[in-house]
Amino acid sequence: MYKLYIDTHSSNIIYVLYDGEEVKSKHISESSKRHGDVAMPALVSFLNNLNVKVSDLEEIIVNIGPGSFTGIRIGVTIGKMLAYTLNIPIKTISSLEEISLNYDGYVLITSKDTKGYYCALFKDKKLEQEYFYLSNNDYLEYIKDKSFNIIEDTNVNYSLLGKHIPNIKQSLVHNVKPLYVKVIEALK
Amino acid sequence: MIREANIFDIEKIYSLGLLISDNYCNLYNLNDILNDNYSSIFVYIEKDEIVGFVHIENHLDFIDIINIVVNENYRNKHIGTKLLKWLINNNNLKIMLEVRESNKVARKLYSNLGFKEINIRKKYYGNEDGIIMELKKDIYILGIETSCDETSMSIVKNGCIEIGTTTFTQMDVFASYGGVVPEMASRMHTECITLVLDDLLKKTNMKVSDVDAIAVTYAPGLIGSLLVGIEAAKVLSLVYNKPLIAVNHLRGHIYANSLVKKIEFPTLALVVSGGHTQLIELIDDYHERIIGQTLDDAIGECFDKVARVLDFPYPGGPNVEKSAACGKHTYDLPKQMVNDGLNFSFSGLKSSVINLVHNEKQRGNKIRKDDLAKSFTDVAVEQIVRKTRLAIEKNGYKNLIVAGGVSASIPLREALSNLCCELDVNLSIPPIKYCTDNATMIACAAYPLYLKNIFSDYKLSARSQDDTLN
Repeated sequence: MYKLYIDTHSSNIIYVLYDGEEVKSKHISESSKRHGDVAMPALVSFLNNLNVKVSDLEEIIVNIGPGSFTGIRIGVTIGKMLAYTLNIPIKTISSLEEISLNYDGYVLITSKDTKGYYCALFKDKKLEQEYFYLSNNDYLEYIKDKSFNIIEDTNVNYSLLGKHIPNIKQSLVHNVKPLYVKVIEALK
Repeated sequence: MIREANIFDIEKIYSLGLLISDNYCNLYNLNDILNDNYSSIFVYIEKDEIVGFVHIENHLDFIDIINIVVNENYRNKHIGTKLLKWLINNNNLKIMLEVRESNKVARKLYSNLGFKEINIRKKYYGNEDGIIMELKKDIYILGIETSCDETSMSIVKNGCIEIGTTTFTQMDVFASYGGVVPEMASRMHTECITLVLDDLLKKTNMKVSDVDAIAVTYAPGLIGSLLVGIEAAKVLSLVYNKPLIAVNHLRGHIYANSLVKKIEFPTLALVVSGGHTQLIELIDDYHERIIGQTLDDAIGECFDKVARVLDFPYPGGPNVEKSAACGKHTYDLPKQMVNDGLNFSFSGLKSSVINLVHNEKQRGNKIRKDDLAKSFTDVAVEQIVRKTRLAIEKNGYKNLIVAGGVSASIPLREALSNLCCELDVNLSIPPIKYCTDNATMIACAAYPLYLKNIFSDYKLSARSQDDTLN
C-alpha cells in the first residue's frame, strides 16, 4: 500500500509515491499547457509505469497552495475525488509549510508571484499566525528590521516530507479546500 | 476461454454446425462470415478445443443471434449460458434472437438471462411458431455539469429516465453580486464536488460501479468551473474503469427533451439561453446544421441587461417575467430583424429599452416597470416566434424542440405552443426544472455517444467555446 502526494500549485505537476515514510518514486513535470489537460494523464502514466493501481493507495496528501488558483483546484479536486471514491484518508499541507520543514528557528517562508509574496511565519516549524499576502512594496516594508530569517526557497525535501506526513492530522474529505490566501479581485 | 473465431477454426465450426443442420455447410459460408464486418463468430475453448460457438449479426442498433451451438459431450456445463453472458457483457446494444416455441428449455434459459418474448412469427418453423426474444440492456450514465454556477450530478437510465439528481446552486450567493463571479463559482465547485456525489449516491442508492459511463460537460462555459467537473469525472473514470464521455453543454439542453419523449429526427431545435439564440436543424443524433443565430446579444443576455436597467435582482430573466405578468404592453418598442432571414438580433431592442429609461428619467417621468417589462417581453418573444415560424414554413419541419434556460419563460412557451398548434407541428419543451443547467441533460446527451462508443481520454480539456456547436 502506498501514499500519494499531489502538488499542482506551481507551474509543475508533482506526484510522489511513498512506501511508508520512504519515497518510492517521484514525477515532476513542467507543464507548459494547462494543468487540466496534463494532470490526470501524468498521474495515470506515473502509476502505470510503477505498476501501481489506484486501489493500492492507502492515503492521499494534497498540496492546497497557496499558488495558482486554477492549479490548486485541479490538485485538490483530484485528491478529494480519489480519497472519497477509494474511501481512504486525506491529509493536506500548504506550499509554505512543506518548505518550513527544512528550517528551524524563527522564519518567514515566502513564495513570490507576479505582484507580491505569499507569507507565513514559522517558529521551529510551527505556524505563528495566519497566512498573508503582501504586494511587492508592502513586502519590502514588512521585512525591514525584523528578527526572523527570510526564506525564498522553493525546493521541497520529499524525504523530510515523508517523515512529516504521519504527523499531519487527517481531514474530512468534504471539508478539504484550497488555501487561496488572496481575496478575489472582482470582490475587492 | 471465449475469443473471436479465425480462419483456422472453420473446419471445427463446420463440424459443430452439423449438430443443428445436416445442411449447415451449404447454409453458411464461414469464409464470408469471418471476413465481413457485418457478422462474427465467437468460440468457446476448453482444453485447447472448440466446444461451442455463437454466430451473430451486427445490425446498426442491435445484435442478432443466428446460431448458438455446443458440442454434445459438453452439454449441461452451461457453455451456452457463458457464451451468451459474454456477449451481453461485451457490447452495448440490445440483443435479439429467435427460438422454437417447443424449445422450453432454451426459452427458460434466455428469460433467466433477461430476454423478453416480444413477438411471435407464425409457422416460422414449418408447423411451429418462432418466438422472437429481445434483451434490452439498461445503460446507466452518471452526468456531471459544472459549466457555470451549478454543481450538478445525475444518474440517467437509457438516456431518458432520470434516476436521481443532486444540484448545488450558487444562485442565491450571486444574487447579491448581480451576476456570476467566475473565480467564486470555481471555488464553490471545488468545495462541494464530493458532497454532491455523496448526496447523489445516497439518494439513488447506487454505487459508481453500477453505472456504465461517466459523462461531463467540457464546453462551452467558464473554464475554471468546467475544469473542476472534468477532473472529477476523470478520477471516477480511472477509479471505476468506466468510459469517459465529453458532452457539449448546448447538446445537453437539446437532449433534455429526451426526458419527455424520444427526439424524432429530423427536427428543428430552438436554443434560447444566456449565451445562445439559435435555430438548428437536427438531422440525426450529433448531426446538425445551424440555420439561424443571433448576430449580437443572446436573448437571455438581453433579458439580464434589461433587468439591470430596471433594477431587478439577479437572475434577471425570471424577475423580468414576474414583473411583466403584472404589466400592460404600453411602451412602443421597435420590432427587430423584419426580413426573411433566419438570424436574430437583440442589441437594438436592448438599446431601445436603455434609451427609453434614460430619456424618461431625464424628463423626470417615472418608469412603469411592469409595463416596460411586459412591452419588452412581448417584442422579444415576437421576434423569436416569427423567426421560428419562418424556419418551419421555409423547410417544412414537422417537429420543433426547444432548449436552453430561456425556454423556462412562460410567455415564450405559450407563444410557441400556439405557433405549433397553428402550423400542426409537434412541439417538445422540457419541464421547467430541466431548462436551467443540470447534469441530467448531460447524461441524456451522452447516451447516443455511449451507443456509438465515442469516448474521451484523460487528456480531455475544458473549452470556453466549442468549434462544433457554439
